[in-house]
Amino acid sequence: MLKITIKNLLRQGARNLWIFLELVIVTLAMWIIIEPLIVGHADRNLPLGFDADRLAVLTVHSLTPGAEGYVQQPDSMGFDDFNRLMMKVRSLPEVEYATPVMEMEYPGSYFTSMMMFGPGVPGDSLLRYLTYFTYYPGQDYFETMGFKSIDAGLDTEALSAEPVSQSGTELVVTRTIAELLWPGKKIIGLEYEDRWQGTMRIKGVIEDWRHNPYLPSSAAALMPMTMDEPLRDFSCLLRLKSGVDMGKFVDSLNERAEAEINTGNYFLSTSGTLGETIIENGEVNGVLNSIRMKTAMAVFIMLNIFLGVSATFYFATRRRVTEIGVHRSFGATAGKIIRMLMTESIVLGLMSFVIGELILLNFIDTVFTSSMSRMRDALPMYDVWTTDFWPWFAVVSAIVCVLLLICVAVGTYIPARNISKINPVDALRHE
Amino acid sequence: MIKLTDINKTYRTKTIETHALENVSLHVAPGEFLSIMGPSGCGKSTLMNIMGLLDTPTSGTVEIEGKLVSEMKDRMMARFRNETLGFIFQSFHLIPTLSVLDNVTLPLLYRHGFHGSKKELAREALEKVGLAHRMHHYPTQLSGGQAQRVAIARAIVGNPKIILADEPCGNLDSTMSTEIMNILHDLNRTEGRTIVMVTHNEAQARETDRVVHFFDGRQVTI
Repeated sequence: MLKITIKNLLRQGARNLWIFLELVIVTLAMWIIIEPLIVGHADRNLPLGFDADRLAVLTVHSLTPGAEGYVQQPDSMGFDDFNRLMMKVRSLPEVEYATPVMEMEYPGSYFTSMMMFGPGVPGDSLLRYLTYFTYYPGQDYFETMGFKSIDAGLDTEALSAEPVSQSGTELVVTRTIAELLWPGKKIIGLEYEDRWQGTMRIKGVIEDWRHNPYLPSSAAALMPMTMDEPLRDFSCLLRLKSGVDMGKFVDSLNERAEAEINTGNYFLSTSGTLGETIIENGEVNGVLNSIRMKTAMAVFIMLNIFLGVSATFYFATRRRVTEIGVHRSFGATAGKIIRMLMTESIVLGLMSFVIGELILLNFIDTVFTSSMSRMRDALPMYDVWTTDFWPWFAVVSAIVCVLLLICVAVGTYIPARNISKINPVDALRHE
Repeated sequence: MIKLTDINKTYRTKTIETHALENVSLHVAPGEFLSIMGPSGCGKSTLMNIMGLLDTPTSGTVEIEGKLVSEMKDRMMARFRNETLGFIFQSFHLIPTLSVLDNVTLPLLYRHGFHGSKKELAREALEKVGLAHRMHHYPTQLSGGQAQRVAIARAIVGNPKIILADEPCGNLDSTMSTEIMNILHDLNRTEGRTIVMVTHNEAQARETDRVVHFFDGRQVTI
């Protein structure tokens, strides 16, 4: 039966050619529409690489001179208020670790302007961007974030506490960066020339982590900075103890701030869990809205594609009424007619898909590198299938194939079902 | 072999009721070659379709080989039709995108429990009608007579006991008509197949075992 169905399909030649071309174009259109959604969704669901569930973010501001409540501090006070505030925060019964970071330079923010050219990947002619975040040594940064040193020579606490070297700029890299840029080499203490930063020295290596689930996954390094003067406006990341109710803690802070946090001219401005903050930042920066709009557009276009394909198959099937009558008169049941028509459509869909894929492969470099969901020239994360060509191509192709076949199957089923029930006498009279 | 009892067929629209057949009772014996004649619109094709289980009567019963087929569900009816009946249509109704061989194998595709060689049986059927040498051709490459011969091969490939032919020579010239009638007579006499044929042609009808005349949905002779 399958052989005859395929023979029939191939012999229909001109009649099926335009359906075939339509499905090829649909394959290409589906790729372009849904690839960003697939990759974006996959990216958003990649593990962050650190335990974000127990992290809260406080935004701390300081009163400016002349503001109500401002207290003039003598210069000799220096870091006193800052240190007392951090001690207060760390003393909160719910808090396990706390660390200050420059305002907006925490995971989930859109502070991505601090990028630099890294050294080239060996064998790669392309210089890559390397995102990095600063941290302050001796402020429990790694413990708070939950990063773990993966270099046996330097444990996490030591890495976190080790002061900034006087000899030059240092960097704590991730496993991806180490394996891509310096495969097989001893990393700790390794020096390289950065195009912008000059001589860089590798201070430590941690597991891969993502700085923002709504941005394309890319490797991010950490740069220790000396706090030459107390931060005026900063964010404070808190790792809460296990068992603490995150929501209740964050809600209680506004009432407790005056007594338990505010110090000198420093005051608590906002607080939230890291998860909430990431979403809020996504809304403010329009990223979430952009995702919603792209998804809505994709759904709209897919519906139109579906209706177009269905209409095509509807009219193509209706033209075969007489042929169906012949089949029925020789014993074909309604079910067999439906299966025959759907087999033809699915085979046609598969053939179109294959041709569509072959056409796409001619332009795949452009699609891969300029995909809306991919940060151009950034160092990719390790073991992330969305940045690895063949897994990316295979997964997206598989999803496009399934969607196309669903489109074709549903588009064929409805007219096939109607036509299979037609009275054979009426079918045979149909011209 | 075929027993029709009090068959009525009425077509109803919102405003019009048409009685295509009225109280028709007909019995066709095994191995008989029966002709049905009548003017256009008298109900002979309707009767043929009911006999061939392509249409259902408004009332009455259809019995074929002792089985009450008018009560059968669609799936059983399709199977019965495939195993017991073969059809020859006036317009041949060959599938133009399939070769002659594939057209002839069509009934075997729907034969329940068939495990043999479809191509072999189709070849044998084509040999009976003298067209084995054209089996890889397509219907558009055949003359009218050849196309009808292929249709006959298709009708007999599954070895049905009954062949229903609805004006098999209606679209053919006299030479080709003679060829077709010879084949049908051959199938009837040498293989003992029961044949029911609708025809306008008196001469062809006279050559058959019995002629039934219809007029306005009613049988006027037995």
